[in-house]
Amino acid sequence: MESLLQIIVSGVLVGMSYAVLAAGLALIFGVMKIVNFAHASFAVLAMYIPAFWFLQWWGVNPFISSVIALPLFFVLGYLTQRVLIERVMGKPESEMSTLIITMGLSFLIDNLILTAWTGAPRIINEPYTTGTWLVGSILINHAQTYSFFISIVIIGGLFLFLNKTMIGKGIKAAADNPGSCAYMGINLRFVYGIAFALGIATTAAGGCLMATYRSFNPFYEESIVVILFACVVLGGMTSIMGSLIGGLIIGMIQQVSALLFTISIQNVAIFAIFALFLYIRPQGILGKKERMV
Amino acid sequence: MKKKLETKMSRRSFLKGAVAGAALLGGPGIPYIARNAAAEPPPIKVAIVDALSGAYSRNGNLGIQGTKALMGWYNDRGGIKSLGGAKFVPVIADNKSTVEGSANAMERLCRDPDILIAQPTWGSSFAMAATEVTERLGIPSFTTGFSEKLNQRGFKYGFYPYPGFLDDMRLGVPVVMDMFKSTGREIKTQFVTSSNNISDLVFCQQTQKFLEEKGIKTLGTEFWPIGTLTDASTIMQKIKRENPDIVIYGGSAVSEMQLFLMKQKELRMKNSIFLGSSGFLGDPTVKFGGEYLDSWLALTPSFYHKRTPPEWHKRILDQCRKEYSDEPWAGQELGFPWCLVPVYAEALERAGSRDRKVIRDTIAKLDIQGTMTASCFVKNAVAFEPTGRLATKYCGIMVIQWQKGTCYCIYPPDIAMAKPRLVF
Repeated sequence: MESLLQIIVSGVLVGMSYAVLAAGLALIFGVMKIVNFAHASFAVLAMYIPAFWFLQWWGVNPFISSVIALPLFFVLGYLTQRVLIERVMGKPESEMSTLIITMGLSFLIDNLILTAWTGAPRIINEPYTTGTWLVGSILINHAQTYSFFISIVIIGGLFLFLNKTMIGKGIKAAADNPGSCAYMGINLRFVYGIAFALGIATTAAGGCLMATYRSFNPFYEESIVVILFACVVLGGMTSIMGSLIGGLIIGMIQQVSALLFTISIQNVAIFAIFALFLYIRPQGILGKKERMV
Repeated sequence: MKKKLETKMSRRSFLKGAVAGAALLGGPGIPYIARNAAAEPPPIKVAIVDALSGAYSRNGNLGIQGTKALMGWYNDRGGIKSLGGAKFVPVIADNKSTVEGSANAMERLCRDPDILIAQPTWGSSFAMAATEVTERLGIPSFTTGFSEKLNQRGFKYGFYPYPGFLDDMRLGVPVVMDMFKSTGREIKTQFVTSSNNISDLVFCQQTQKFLEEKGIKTLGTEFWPIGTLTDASTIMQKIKRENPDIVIYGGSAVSEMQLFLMKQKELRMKNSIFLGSSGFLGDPTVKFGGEYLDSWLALTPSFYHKRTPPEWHKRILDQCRKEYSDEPWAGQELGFPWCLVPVYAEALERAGSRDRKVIRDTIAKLDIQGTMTASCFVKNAVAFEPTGRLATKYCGIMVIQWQKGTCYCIYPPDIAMAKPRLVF
């Protein structure tokens, strides 16, 4: 019982870290209908800059870095969309082109990190990294707990932005029906740029948070990218709240399955339940037949 | 006047003058240059395939730095004398941390007919693929792979100057058991956890079997697919729950060990003792483990020790600092090449030939004891079995341990840098 409670707490904390990364992916897919293979690479880049190196150079707390990452990666995401993605959007075979471009971008980011800072695995070694609170018989990690609450704020902020601001409503409208939006005078190029930038900024903030309690290296994205896609698909492809629920479910399955079975089939358990879920509800948990953010 | 001068200085007369002038000024130097050009022997090209990118890039890059440093050391001392002072030239390719990348990279490098030696360095799985190529082409190859599978293939051109994992286990585990006994702490239970990397898995399973035969009970096993571990929470929670006397640990990468250490600290498992299969736990990047590291021991045939020539150690660290990273000591990966480069340098010196078959035969006959070439080997000696593996009579193992922020060789006593400190 004690172990089960510990596992559930771990599952929720881990799940939330996936959720914040997956939220950006869902936003990009929902609005632009592109599968961004470079998504996790941006998160890893944020683990290095600002999270790790800002701490090393100037002693900036990585939790503050997660806030700094938002504008930094917003600009980077916007530029990436305008310079690379937009050039092929709307053209024949654009889905395949964007897939290849983002895959290439992922390789580029990974190898730039490798060249700049070597392949040495990094860790943010601060008291909160491995510090714990003992609640009853359950140990709760400090960094994961702080990250949990900051993640809720980030996802909540994203949700409010999309639902309460004019730009956010424009993004939602573009996701629903880009053709009509164009007739209504909404600048789709701008909206796509903002949506991509927001997605990347969110994942970068998530990357900073994850760096506070995980060891990472330039190729860390390979370990998480499939899980992020699973979160998004499980949640309903285009739904931010869906990706949150998807992340929590994946995190929980990952932890509980390892308690019941051997760790070697941890990912098998994730994808077995994932496949079963999609068989029962192909559109995902919060997915609708029409694509919506 | 100007016109007259232009007429006189025609292009032909200018060229004649220039050639005459050059001959006059540079003439005495020409024979010197020609003589030196003739005397300069062709370089000794060594094909090196290692993980420069991908999950194992740290391991690969450290190995490359160590190799470059030692090659530089030989080159600075006049190269290989019996080959007219020929200098080593590393020809390097990246295997991208993949098996197929290893074979492809080696195939590409070995198209050069001047390659005399190959060094598909780190990782048994990668070495398995790359040595298929070198064997087919008849190029003597040196690898650090610990898996016995490498030397069980009947290859003639493959050399593995480190003991296999079974030897590591056979030599090292009883030593560690004795160390525990000396502290009055008896091992009665074990927990085994490892990646499924072939050599780590073999080490862990054989150690488990060995300990079970001695009556030690196995409380649990956990194996994860190589490169997939992103969180060690569940494994460490199981270990905490089972509370074994010793954990047999077979991780393949430093990042995996970091995850275990983080969780060990987080779950406050100070009394858990880990016995690692590989010397990478002496990697400086795990230093954050602090006092928790003191409960980790590892078996390795490669680590700096009392007999390591100080000039080699310094040179390797300088080289690494210049091109890769600032390392405080030469751990397993950075130190691997000092059991490779000196051996093939010695073989080339003795062979005095560029014929790969002659070089291979010379390596096979080597039996070196007590010289600088063998100084980094645990037994201070090197020879090879007909299978290419380090001769059983010269197989030795080191035990390493962290003590107050530095990792030391603590066994065997003749090369140990510190005494064992098993206070848990």
